[in-house]
Amino acid sequence: MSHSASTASPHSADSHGHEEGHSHHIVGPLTLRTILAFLLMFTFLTVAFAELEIYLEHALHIALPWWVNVIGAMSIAVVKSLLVMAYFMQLRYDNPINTVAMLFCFFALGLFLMFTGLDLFTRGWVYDFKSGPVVAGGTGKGVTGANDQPMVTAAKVRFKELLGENDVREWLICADTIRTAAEEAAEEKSADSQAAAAALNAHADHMMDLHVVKAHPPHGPSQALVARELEQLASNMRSGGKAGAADIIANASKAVGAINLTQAKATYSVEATFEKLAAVAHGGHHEEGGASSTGDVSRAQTGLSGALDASGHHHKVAEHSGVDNSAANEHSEGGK
Amino acid sequence: MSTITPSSGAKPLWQRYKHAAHFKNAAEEFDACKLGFWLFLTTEVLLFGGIFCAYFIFRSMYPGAWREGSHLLDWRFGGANTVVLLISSYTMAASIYSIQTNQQARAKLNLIITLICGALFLFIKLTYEYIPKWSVGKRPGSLFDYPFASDPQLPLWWSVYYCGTAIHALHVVIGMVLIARVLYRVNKGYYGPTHYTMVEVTGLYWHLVDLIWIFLFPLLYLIN
Repeated sequence: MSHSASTASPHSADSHGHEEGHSHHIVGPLTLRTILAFLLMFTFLTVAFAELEIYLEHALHIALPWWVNVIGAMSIAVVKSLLVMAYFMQLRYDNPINTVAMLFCFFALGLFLMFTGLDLFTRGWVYDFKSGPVVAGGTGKGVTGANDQPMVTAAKVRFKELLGENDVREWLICADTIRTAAEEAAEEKSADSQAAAAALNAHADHMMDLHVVKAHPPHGPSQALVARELEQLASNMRSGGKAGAADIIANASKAVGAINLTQAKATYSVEATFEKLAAVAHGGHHEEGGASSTGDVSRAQTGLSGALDASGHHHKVAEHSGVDNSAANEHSEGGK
Repeated sequence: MSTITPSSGAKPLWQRYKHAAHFKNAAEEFDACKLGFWLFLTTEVLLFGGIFCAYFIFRSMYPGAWREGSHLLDWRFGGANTVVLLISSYTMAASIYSIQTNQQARAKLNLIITLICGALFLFIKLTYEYIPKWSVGKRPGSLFDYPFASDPQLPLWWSVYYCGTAIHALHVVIGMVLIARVLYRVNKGYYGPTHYTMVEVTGLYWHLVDLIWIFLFPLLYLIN
């Protein structure tokens, strides 16, 4: 830090004091922009690094050890934070006591993390039986409403009960009919039937979306309503110059209208419907042992139009949902 | 810090600023304010340190839940928010430069852009992350109700996710209130080359918000 004579001119070296000059370094726009460019570049780099790892694992079956990802992402984060602190927060030009305060804080944070880790992960050094997970907890078993099951299982059970409700059943039977119509249309290669299949799949996806079924469960009869919606969709397509596709959708509308609900409800399976909804929630990018990267978030935002592009993956997804619901199966029987 | 009494006079307010009586000069006051604020920032780092500690412990204990949870987040929203915050950090620093060189209009513009970025961050967070997640049951702890989860410890992941990001979002809100106050006072002519402590200190707070997100983003969205 340098001292200079005080001047009133705003463009002089930032005299801050009135009586005794006490100048502060002014970090100019060029420096700030350069730092911003570096920060954005590092952000891109850290995302690219993570994506590259996923690509290596999925396309080339090269599994990098877990710490490569952690060390890579954390080093980039540390570099970025150093840039922010040194230039944006101006520690580089500031009174060093501020840097010392911050360094001491990071030292304290390091101790904090180190001692917690030291305790939890070295217990096996003394007694073998203390190694491994300290407590097999964290499942929320015992929480009110979970019926002494892990919360993940309780959530499945609750959802299957919802799927068994009369109005929800009717709604999902209609969705299933639309899905079948879409599958039939997709088998033909003509542009018209492909367009109709995409539109029908999107409609079915939307109806089977978790945001619709769970957050806003349908109330009251829906068969006539859904048939009307499809008619509307058909007339929209007709006015858009796609008469062929519109006909297929109009037929699907008739199929929905013609569903024998008593018969359909008797053969309705909560389990099969659950699997279908899980496949929709996993959005067509289903990965082994986990859910999709986009999940239901993007679907909820884009609604019908967004579901269009994902609908092509639908069949593939339905075969493998990866959801373990064996524990919940017994309970759902009562909900049917 | 003593205040400026807005009264008639040719000089802008910042030129009439008088430091508090117990300081030798304005420079000493500025340094004291800044050191005090840095000490406050250390406590902020330790606050988030607790959450990071929970993250690391649970991650090592239940890697499956962390893997599944991280897959349920979309890095594009986190990435967009990172870019938004970095840009806002730049405009905040640029507004301090503008005040230091007495470019009042540019300072105002930079502060307004910073505010817009803060609002955009919260908008993305709420509309694309919190609301769609919450409504399908991806909730913390005992509120958890997502039917398609497979790892039994997944509720813990959401607890850490909401704790970290919501406390961070609260800081964004507080930062925006501070920036709005600075903007109001810049408009009145409170700050200039010889007096800008509040602008600088607000900037430090805003950069801390950015700093925390720099770590939260890869930890939550990218490492899986």
